[in-house]
Amino acid sequence: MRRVLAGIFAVVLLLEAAGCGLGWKHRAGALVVPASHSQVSGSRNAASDVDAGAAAVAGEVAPPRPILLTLPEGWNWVMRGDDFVATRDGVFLQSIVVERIHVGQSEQPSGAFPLAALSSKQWPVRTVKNLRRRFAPRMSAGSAAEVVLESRKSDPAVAGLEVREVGTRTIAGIPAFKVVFDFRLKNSSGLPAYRSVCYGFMRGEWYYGFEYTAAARHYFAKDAETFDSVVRSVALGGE
Amino acid sequence: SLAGDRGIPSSVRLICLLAALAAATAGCASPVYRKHPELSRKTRAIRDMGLLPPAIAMYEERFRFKLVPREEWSREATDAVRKAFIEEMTAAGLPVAAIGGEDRELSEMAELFGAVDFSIGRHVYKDALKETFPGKVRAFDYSLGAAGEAMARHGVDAVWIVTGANLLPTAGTQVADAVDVLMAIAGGLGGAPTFAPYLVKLEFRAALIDGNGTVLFYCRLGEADLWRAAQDIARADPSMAGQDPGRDVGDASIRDDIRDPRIARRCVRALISEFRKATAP
Repeated sequence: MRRVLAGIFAVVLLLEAAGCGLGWKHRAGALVVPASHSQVSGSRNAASDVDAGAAAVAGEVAPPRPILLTLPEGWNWVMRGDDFVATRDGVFLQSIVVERIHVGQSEQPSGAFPLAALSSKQWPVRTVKNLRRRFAPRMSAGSAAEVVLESRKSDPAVAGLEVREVGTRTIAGIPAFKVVFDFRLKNSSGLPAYRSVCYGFMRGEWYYGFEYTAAARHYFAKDAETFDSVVRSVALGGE
Repeated sequence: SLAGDRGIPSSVRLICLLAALAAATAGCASPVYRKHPELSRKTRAIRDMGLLPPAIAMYEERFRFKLVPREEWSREATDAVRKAFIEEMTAAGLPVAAIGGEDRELSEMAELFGAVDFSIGRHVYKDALKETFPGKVRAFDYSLGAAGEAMARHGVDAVWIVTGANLLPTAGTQVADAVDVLMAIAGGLGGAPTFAPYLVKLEFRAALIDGNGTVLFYCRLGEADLWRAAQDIARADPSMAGQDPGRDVGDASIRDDIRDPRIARRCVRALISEFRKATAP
């Protein structure tokens, strides 16, 4: 019984820790998605294209570029592992996800504290673990779009994926792909249909993705313009 | 280890541990309902209400918290709740018409409610998971999308959506263990602990939606809330005392099985009580 009590006490402490700064943040405005990433050793701090070249020569992973963006008031955000996740009403209603994926990456961690911002982890769609092809340096935006779509189609959480639109867009001065698609979550009776609009591009050995997903009914239209303003605010840090 | 080798008796350590756990999980008791800022004004414009098909999920709780979904029990629960809802609402002067599940637009609305229901539970109610969004607590504002035309087709201008879950333990799980004891301690301090939701045996949730899709009223009732509501109702109207068997009359043989019409009625009466509080001038 003492072990059970100690275990429960540990869970409670984890929950308290989750509420004390490890969970959702509610500060809006200018934010930075940091250069630190689980794929990069802690000894590397700089993030630039020059640094990436040197790292490649040394056989190491150079960090991605930090991403500067502006989030409007009323939105909540958290770093889910290496990914930036933001929502206004809850991730099962709408979310903005910013992810950076290295060409050699095979895992997409959710963070060290599993109970912190738990709902952000309960949203089941993930890119890395369902990749059927890898991103590659200097890959075209169109090819990167195909990699992302194949990941979504392979995702066991996703059903009935239908591509609505394929195009291009410029983000932070970089040509990016644009894909719009509809889907449902599998084994999800009592959940709505969803729509996603995804932008992405390659920079060095990193894929940068910006995705807005929302319930197709009411919520997608409600914040599509908000997502557009967030994307327009994006800038890459570093040199 | 909780051994007393540091000079502090292990019994004192255990009491401190229980107190800390109870304090952490109990928190402040918060209202069981949430309402749109314009609920009172908008409800005055509502003449006819409908009830979409309730969705009550029933599970058999086996030893060590294993839950087995029971489709047949769920159907029986849905029927019991539908009947109780219409009868009790009508008796309370809030007549409600049952609406079938064939209307595509209303079905889409009910599907979206699944996601809204989850989001309200996580981001508007305070619990041990600590995912509250201050903005959503300050201004309760959720929508299921406009459905005025679909509602008009059924002759209503607002609908109730009812969901819930009911766990029925098998005989093996009724053996009290340390966890159940702790839940009772924490619950006795005024807060229904929810960090282990699989230990909540019965939860009844309902929302009132207007033609614009606005969630005007949302209510979440657990076992403790249902018991308190039954006490409140009996105090306010002594003629109702004894009509609702349960812990208040000491009948321990009645368990919280929502398929039992008495339990279903208890849930709806508690909902009506909270709705009246929310719409009181």
